[in-house]
Amino acid sequence: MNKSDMDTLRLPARIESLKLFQDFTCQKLKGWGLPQALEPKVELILEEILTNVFNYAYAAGTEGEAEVGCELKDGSLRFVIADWGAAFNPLESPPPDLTDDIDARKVGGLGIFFVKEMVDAIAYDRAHDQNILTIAIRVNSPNT
Amino acid sequence: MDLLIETAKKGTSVVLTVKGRLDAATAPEFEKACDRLIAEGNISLIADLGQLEYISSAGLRSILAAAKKLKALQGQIKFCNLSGMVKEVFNISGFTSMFSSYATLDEALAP
Repeated sequence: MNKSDMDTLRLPARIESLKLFQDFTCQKLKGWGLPQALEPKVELILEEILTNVFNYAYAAGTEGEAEVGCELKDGSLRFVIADWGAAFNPLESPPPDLTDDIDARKVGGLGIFFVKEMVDAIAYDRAHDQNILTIAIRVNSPNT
Repeated sequence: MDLLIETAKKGTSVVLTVKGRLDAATAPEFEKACDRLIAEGNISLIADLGQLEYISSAGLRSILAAAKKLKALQGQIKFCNLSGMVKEVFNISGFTSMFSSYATLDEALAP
């Protein structure tokens, strides 16, 4: 997918950037007149993917960046989330066992599972030394 | 105010009214609040999530960590007033079936 015509934000890959990425995206949603109920879902998707990038993309002690782009096109909200870190496809993570009881239940693996459940399409690509995650959510918008 | 937790003793239980956002930045606060209550001997907790606007997997992790500690002490944490995206996240993650959750605080308090 071509992200050249998207609005993008690039920031240091650290937890302090999360709110800025979320605010940037929510402002776009508001500008497009999308329902407010969509905002926490989009914030969740960004948090789950970006915290993975912040924690694992770059070796400890090295500074890296993450980029979020978004657009509303053909009735779909599209996001492109990119980093320049080690190759990693989050879509290959095994799903959590949702049937375990409190004792057996593991504390990891839920984040990417949420994202897969909440979006209509998601794809990973490794290109130009970037990890690129492309996400689409169908929306009903007056502007499409 | 990203996360605000009010606690109130109701009979043998403690009700935590959780307001705002339970995310990667604030989840440790929730776990600390539970740890403090557990250290004071409270093992029956009810989290009222009616004013919680947002929860992520980091928020769920803090809830699960508290639940594991309570279960080891024969205690438990119950939930009430789930709505919106918080309810959806509980459903998707299987937390709705793993925990007792109630439509209202009164129902959660009923013996």
